[in-house]
Amino acid sequence: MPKRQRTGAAGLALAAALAFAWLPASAGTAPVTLDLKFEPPSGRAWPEGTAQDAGAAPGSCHVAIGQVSDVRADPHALGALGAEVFETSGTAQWLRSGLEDLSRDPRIKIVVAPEPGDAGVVLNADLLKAYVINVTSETRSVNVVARIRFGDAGSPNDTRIYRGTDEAVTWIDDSGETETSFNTALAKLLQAVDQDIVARCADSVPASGGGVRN
Amino acid sequence: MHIHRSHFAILFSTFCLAACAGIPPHEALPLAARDKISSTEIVMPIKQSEIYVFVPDSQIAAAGGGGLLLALIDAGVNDVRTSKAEAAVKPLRDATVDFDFDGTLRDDVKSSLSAVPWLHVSDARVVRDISPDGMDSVFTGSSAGAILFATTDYHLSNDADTLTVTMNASLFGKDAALADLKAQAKDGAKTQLSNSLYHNTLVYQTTTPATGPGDRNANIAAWSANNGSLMRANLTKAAAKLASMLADDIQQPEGPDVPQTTNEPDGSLTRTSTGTLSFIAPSVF
Repeated sequence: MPKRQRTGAAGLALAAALAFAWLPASAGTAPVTLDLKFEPPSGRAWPEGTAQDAGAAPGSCHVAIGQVSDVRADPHALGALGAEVFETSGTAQWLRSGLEDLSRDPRIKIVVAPEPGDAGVVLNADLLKAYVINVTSETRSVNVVARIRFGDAGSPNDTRIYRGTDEAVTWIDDSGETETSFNTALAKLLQAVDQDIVARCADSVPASGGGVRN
Repeated sequence: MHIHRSHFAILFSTFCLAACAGIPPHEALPLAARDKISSTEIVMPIKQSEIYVFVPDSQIAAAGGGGLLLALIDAGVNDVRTSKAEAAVKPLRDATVDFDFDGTLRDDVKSSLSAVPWLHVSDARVVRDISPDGMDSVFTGSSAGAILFATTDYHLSNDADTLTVTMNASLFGKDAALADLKAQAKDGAKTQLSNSLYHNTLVYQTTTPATGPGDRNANIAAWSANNGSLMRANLTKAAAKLASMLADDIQQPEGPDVPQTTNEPDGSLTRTSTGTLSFIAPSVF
């Protein structure tokens, strides 16, 4: 049984060490509440690549944002860095405000509902994952995953899953730096959404189906 | 019965760590508690939302005697390691994005422990907050006579060859009759381990059959193939096995822990001399 023997002493020792990371947990810390407000990355244009489609007139791609929900089992949880646990309220509003900020793409105009004959899409969004974890003791990774249901005139007909991530060293301010990472990860997710929306408006709808857009 | 070399490592490690905290790694549930448990709520703190790759901290500063410059070099090394590990594990996360490990484990543990009649299992749920305050809040808010925490972690080794699922189980009495069975610490969290009537660490480990140690990207590819079927199957098996191990262990009578390895049809189960349990399984596929 050569494969089983590869499960080595070091691995089990590590597992034990990780297991007993719970023992010193008697030094309690209350969860830190993050006030998530979407802000696009500073210092550069966002979404990127908005000038690539020279044929699209400004505001010609009408986008109606329907229902935006946080469907996670615990919509307040945002993960933890070491003993510091993060939580929030209003993640659905955070995601919605990010989607609305896609109007920074000059081709996109956020509307209540597309007019008949408009080039446009209706989208509904579910937040599937939003969390921060330690990777090493001083680095963090934030993942944000959303399911977007695209439809025309309120009849969803295509679902895609998008993931945005951010990895960084935590230097000084766990909370502030973690908030920034959540916004960076969401901005990356929305960048891919932006590309797909514009493609839909141009009637070059990407293939539907499996896979996660990163 | 001799102990496999790898199990000595877990024994040694758990002994050292637990000894530092002054708490034995395993305490069996007193027999007297059984007829005093009116109901048990199972709470499963699972901090993570997806699998991760364990990445060791850079130790350049430690090896070099410390200093700001070496600490900065460590930070840089950790940053690069983090980026590489997170990029590598992303395909596996994407392939298993719809896999509900939390729910699978919750249902398995509830089912297994419901077969222990004197526990009177009332409910089972997963929480994300594994902090002492969070666990104390759950304990205080529960209407059950006893609360069984099963804090669980699952991750891949640095080279993504080995999947490890670890469950730290601890049962706390809330009813006065139960709480009286164990002297409670005057200070600190109500759910600190020294206040528990029962606790133990249960580990499940398996490896990817396809590639081998050292090649992280190839191992991730193996776990991720076919919509993550290998990872889904092994996590499903791990959940079922840990649930079964927990149900057996909580019924273990008090007394000295006897080190023992038992070969079972689906792997080998070892109890160390400190009472912790580890199950090493061949990969499902």
